[in-house]
Amino acid sequence: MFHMKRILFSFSLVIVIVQAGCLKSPDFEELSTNFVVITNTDSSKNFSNFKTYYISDTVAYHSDVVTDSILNNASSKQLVEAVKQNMNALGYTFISKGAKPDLGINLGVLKNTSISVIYGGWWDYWYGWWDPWYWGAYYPYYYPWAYAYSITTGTVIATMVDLKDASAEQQFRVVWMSVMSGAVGDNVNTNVQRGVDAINQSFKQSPLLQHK
Amino acid sequence: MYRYLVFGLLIGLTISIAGKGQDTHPSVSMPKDFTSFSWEVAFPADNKYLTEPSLSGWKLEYRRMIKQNLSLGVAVSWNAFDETLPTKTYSSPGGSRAVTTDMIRQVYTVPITLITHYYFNTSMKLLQPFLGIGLGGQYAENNTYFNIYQLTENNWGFVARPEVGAAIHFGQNSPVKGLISAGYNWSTNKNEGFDIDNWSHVTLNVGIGVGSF
Repeated sequence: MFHMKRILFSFSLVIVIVQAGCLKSPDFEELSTNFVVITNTDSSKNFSNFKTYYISDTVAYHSDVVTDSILNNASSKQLVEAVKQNMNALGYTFISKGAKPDLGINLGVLKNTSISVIYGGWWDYWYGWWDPWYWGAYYPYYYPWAYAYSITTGTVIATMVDLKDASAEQQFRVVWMSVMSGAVGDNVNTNVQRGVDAINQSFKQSPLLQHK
Repeated sequence: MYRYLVFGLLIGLTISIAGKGQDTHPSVSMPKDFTSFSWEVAFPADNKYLTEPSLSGWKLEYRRMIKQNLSLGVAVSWNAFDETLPTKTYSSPGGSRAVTTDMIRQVYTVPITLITHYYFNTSMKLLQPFLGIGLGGQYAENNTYFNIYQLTENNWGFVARPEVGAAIHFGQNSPVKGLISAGYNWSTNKNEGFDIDNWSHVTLNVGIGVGSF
């Protein structure tokens, strides 16, 4: 009986040791600092039907500073330019908003927010963000996929809206979306470069956007 | 697949050694009570989550002879798998969804089992071959780290751990014995984030134990 108690004590001790100290901390130095890039494409759409697009020089911006709403500087222009280059390379043509483009692209940046998870597409309705009036009507944005994204430090969000069929569908259907997220540092140039790299990767991993 | 082959060969080898040892003066010389501690190396089998082996595992077990050739007992093991995967794009069929990132993946397993072992009669002075199986529950923790994010899944599952091996005698009637064994660990632990329904690995153990006759 005494022997059995000794055995049980030994097993209990081992389990306590396991719980307390055996979990190995991962070597985060092995991880790159590149943004995690998540893309969704509306597979029901034939992107060959879209010929033209528009993207503003302005990037919507949201941070802990409540007055922040837009970015229109050299950094935002680099991000916008990266989108344009990729769209042009896929065969789309940039035209002015007044010329009725087939696709509209919203670009936004979130930094240092306290949001842990975003569901649906409610960021579209933030003040200074891309509310539907920007595209000429108050149709609701519609996302043909379900998602929840964790937003912690730095995130670039690109959404591509179907403007061509919006009137018939009575909604701004989001036909492509990229969420590019990760840690950001104090060096603006480095942060912007991560954003540009992530935008390039977003298009690279979205074969359905190919303009055949 | 080669792991199944190795495991099958080990079973065959164990039975072969046991059979050979039965020629003269067959006997089983295991202590009535036996507690052992083993270093356990584990190799993930048939999973798409990670492939790197666990080198820092161990197993603690207690066996009690209930018949001349048969023991019952309890065992607990610990395994820590860890692998860094380079940046890769993971796409859904059709390419409508994709994620690009590098990541660190970890799996911790703690199988706690009731064990039984059958010892073959043998005249060998050095080795006491055995076949065994453990059945019980396994706690598993799956961690995935990418950039600043972490995904974690913890759960319990059923586990079955067949093994083949041998006790090593250090001297006649010595209560101290070595242990070598090879086993297979199959469990129902899931990792839903990665669409994994079960977890299995092959184990190799080298240990030492002490008992009383």
